[in-house]
Amino acid sequence: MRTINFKNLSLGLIALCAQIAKGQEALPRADLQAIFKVGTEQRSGIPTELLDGTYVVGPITGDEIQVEHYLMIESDINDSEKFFALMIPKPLAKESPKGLARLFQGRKLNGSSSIMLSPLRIDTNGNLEITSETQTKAPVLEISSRPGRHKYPYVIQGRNGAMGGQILGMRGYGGFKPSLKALPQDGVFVSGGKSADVVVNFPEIAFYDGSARGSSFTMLQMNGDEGKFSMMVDNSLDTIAESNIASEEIKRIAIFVNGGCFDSEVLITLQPLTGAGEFNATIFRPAKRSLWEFVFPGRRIPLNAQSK
Amino acid sequence: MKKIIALTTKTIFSTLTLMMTSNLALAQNRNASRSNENQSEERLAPETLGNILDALTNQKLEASPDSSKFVSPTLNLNHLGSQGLSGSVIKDGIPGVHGEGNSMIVDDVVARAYNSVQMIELILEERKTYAMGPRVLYMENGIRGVLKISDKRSDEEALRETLNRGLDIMSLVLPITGATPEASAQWASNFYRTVLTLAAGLQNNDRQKILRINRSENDNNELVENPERYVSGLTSAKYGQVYANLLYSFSTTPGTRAAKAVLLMRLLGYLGHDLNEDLARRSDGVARTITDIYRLQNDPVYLNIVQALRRGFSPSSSELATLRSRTYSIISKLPERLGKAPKFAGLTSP
Repeated sequence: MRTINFKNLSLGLIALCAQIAKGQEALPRADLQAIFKVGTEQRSGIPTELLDGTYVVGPITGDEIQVEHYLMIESDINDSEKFFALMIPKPLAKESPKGLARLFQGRKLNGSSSIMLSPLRIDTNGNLEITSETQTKAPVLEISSRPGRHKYPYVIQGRNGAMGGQILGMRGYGGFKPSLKALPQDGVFVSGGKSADVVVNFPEIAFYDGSARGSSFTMLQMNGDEGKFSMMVDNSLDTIAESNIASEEIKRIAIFVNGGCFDSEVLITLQPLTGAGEFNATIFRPAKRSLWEFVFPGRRIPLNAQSK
Repeated sequence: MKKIIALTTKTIFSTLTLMMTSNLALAQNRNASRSNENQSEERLAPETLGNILDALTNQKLEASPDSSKFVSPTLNLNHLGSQGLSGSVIKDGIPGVHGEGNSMIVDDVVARAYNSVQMIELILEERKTYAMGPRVLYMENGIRGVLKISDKRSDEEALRETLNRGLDIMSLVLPITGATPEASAQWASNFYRTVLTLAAGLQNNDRQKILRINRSENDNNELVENPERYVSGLTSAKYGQVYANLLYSFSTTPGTRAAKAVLLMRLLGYLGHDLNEDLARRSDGVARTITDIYRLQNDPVYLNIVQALRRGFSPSSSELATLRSRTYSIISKLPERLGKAPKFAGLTSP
């Protein structure tokens, strides 16, 4: 038996030597782990990293987009890989009190270096809804980095019909950075006579348009205690209960922006439109103080109280 | 003059010191809060793990929600003690004019005054007098009260099932909704409101009657093929479809990965259970959906998420995306396989 085995072995060795002598190669081996990971990890390209702050979105190929936009980003407190982003047109910041704003949640695309901006909308239950989680072909923006030195180091692609399917560029905002705020410095804002005036008495925000029935909302912080976006839910002052009673359904979004593209602190309210992630943005600026008020601010303590 | 200069220098110095210390304190606070955030992102709170582990063991198709966990067979009014009245007064009834000794016994009246739907309407109306946080607790207690009123009424099985599931889901998900208390309170309050609305709409939908016939006469082919001839009301599969749509719509709000994963896994468990209990469980559409759920629950991605939650970590975003995508694929085929879901006020389908 042993002699047969030795015989087979020696025959095999001889055949192998003969094949090597003929110049034949051994079987190539594959890394199975690498094969099974294809499509899950980024293998090339510049990873797109966006920090909290303000970016400018503008035309990269021509003048297809009418106006430049500002994109303001804030990290999601519950998920380090995600962030909230508000896009407003530049004229809204400069002269116009109303305009079309877009609100997104940003997240990395699996197996890619890109970031997806998924529109946020208010659903019929009154919850904030991430559109890309409710439909497979949601209109989203895809942000990617490009190598080299360019005016716009980021490229934005409108996918599934978002932004009219345009290609846009994006860069960091060069000027003094605007800061997003959850709490205002001022309590009274005016709209410039085109809609209601606003009183902010956190967490209440009330709109006055001259009628006896003003509308008021409670602001609930969307992104934790340090978050800047507030969800506005209807409220009413119950005088028997001696408190403001809020409802559960989100009606609008509010955010205070200071500096940057704005000359003073402003309040931006977002009212949902039918398009995914599209909101009607209204800017409210702080009520101006007269020179008299500036020099002689109102007394805080009554005279008779001081004498005691 | 020297005095003035010295005083000014002293003031400037003290102001600077104050500013520096306050900045330092602010920075420390920020660092502390950031480290807290990081912890909350990655690790789940330890007290929630027990609940999640228990829940995940009941995730498979065979699992039936444990209704006895919430429903008490006897009417117990002790819970009213927390509403601001002392226990002894409630025990003896409404205090009379002569004090506690002459209290009027009201248990018999209280037990019959409202039926389940009327009580739900009352809760939905009274909830508005509470602030958002206490409102969640009020509705939770209210749901328990409705379950006691409903007791074992045969025409309210679907109503009780809905309420029990609402409590079950909230007990699992609310503790892991992350560092956004206001958004979580709004979400939870809205969830309970929707659950109560759905439950009120399900009175007289005799789902359990359908189930009983299914269990006793499972081999009757005619019954399996033509359930409408024998029973009326919402079928188990239709109920599962409605509830899955509700849970899916509440799983698409911003929040933690863990909370979303648990919500989706619960959705699959409940849907599988409801379809498997349906008379037409062997029909193509139902059977294929049951199989899809079974396959997903045994998929490595699903098992990895279970493992991550068991270890107290959040699932990865790619795994959650796969779970969501597969779940969406299953529930988006339901209208084609089962027909359109019946509409209830305030409920949307994806």
